Amino acid sequence: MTLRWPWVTAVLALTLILAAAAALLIGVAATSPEVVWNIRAPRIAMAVIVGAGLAVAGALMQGSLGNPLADPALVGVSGGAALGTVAAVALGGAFNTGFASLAACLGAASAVVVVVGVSIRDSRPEVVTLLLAGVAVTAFTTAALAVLVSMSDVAGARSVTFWTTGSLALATWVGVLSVAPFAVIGLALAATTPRSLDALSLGDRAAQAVGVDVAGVRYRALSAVVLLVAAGVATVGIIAFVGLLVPHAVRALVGPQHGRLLVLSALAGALLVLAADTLARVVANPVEIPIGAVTALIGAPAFFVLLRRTRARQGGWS
Amino acid sequence: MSDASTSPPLELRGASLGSGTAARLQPTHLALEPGTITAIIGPNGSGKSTLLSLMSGDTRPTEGLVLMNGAAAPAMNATMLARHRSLLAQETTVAFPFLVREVVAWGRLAWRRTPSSADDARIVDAAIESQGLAARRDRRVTELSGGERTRVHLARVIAQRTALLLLDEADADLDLVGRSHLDETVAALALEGRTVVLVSHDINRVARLSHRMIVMSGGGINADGRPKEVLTAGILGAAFGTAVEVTQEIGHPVVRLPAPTRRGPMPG
Repeated sequence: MTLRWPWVTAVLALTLILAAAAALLIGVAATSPEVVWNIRAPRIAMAVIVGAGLAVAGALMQGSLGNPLADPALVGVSGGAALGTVAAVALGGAFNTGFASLAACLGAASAVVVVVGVSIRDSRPEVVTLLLAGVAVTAFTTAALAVLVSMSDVAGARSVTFWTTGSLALATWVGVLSVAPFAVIGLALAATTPRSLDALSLGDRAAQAVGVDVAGVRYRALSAVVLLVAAGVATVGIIAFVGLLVPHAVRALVGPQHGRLLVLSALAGALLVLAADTLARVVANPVEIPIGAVTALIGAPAFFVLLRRTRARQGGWS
Repeated sequence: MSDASTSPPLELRGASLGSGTAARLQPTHLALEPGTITAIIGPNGSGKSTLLSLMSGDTRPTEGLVLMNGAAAPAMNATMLARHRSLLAQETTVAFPFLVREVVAWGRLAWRRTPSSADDARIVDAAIESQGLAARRDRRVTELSGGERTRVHLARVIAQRTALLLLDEADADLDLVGRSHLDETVAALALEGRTVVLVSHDINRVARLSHRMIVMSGGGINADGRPKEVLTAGILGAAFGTAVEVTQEIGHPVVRLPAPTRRGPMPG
């Protein structure tokens, strides 16, 4: 049973607005105009942009690769972006700059090329190979990142933990402005893909046979993934499982059509990251829990369930 | 460019794939007439799917030409190809739980923004009904059996309304009733003037269905002609590399494997 999607959109949008308003008023520090405008508001804006971007990126990866288990962090794209950012800073760049964001894009794009290149065989992307390639890429990027962070003092407050579990604590308006253009272009690119992504569920050959430009739509979708993931990771680190959880929840509510899936994933992703971040900063007062830990605690069990279901649907894989 | 009205729906002029020892398909010449059913048979790995991928325009020939109504297929974009030929691929899984009517409607994707798209809803409904799926219209395609899923894809191919239809082992997941229904569908499509190519391992069945049979082995065409011309013990034995018996029954050749050399008597 699926719900009428315009209603779901309205309810989600309203909830997001209420959640943002609540997040402005909730916090450890006393609520003053200064705190609200300079500390909480940019953090909320960042949560909305990053959450929407990660969720849409997950939906795009899953649709363009026919792989229900794809998530930017799980397949190494976020790791590539983090490594790119740290490398740029180690080379003398600064955080929250266009240079850092472009380096993040380069890192994310390299990871996409590697994992997708390895997983496509006989013009068909393989579900498990993509994840295994992601494991290898993530191991490499995490290690290289640790080396760079420990060797250079330029990392400042951004530790290895910051990169691997993410944090919005350092969000500023400058950071928001450095992410926003990438998110806007990424979302615009995503908006060109829905019909083709629907038919791509048939697999490459049959999709091509009904008239889908398979290589073209995959290129556009994955370019959007790079833009949406990279700029976010460059400013807040890796927040895993958002791109996995949100599209699956949305499909369960309104069905798999990519038009509504992308719109609702953007809203629900923004809401999830905003809620998780608000939780992360108030629940263990006075310390902050890393937001990536919050999303992983929900996401990892959900991934396990999806793994079993996907394997059953595909008749097992060996 | 030659006149579309006189050019065959599909023609291969010396089309080959790979070369030398890496050849996957020897240079191939053939032309298909409108309203005909052509069956491609041969052992696994003999090049049937390779030939089909050239016929579908999805693969560019290494040498030679693939012409659709006289136009070179590799020069067409995905949409133009999809208005000319449709394909039922071997892979029938759908990655996400779309509804039956949504999957069938993808057959209309290439006709968007054309006059015929005004009839999309009617064409999709007719295709669904032609495959006996009216009651499954709003079911999720991931919940269907293999045979039902094949019928959904067949309805999608029908909804695409192309002059050329390529069916790659469409009968693989079908039981006896399903195959009978598939054959009725294929025969009806040919009567409408459409050109149907099917790959199958069910030799006797497709021999009675098709006007023409192509026997492949080792990446090349061994024999090409009417079923009664190509279904001989000599041709099939050479292509499949095993002894077969061919008998005639009421004017139709019937292919049989010899009985196992060692078999005990029936118990009881």
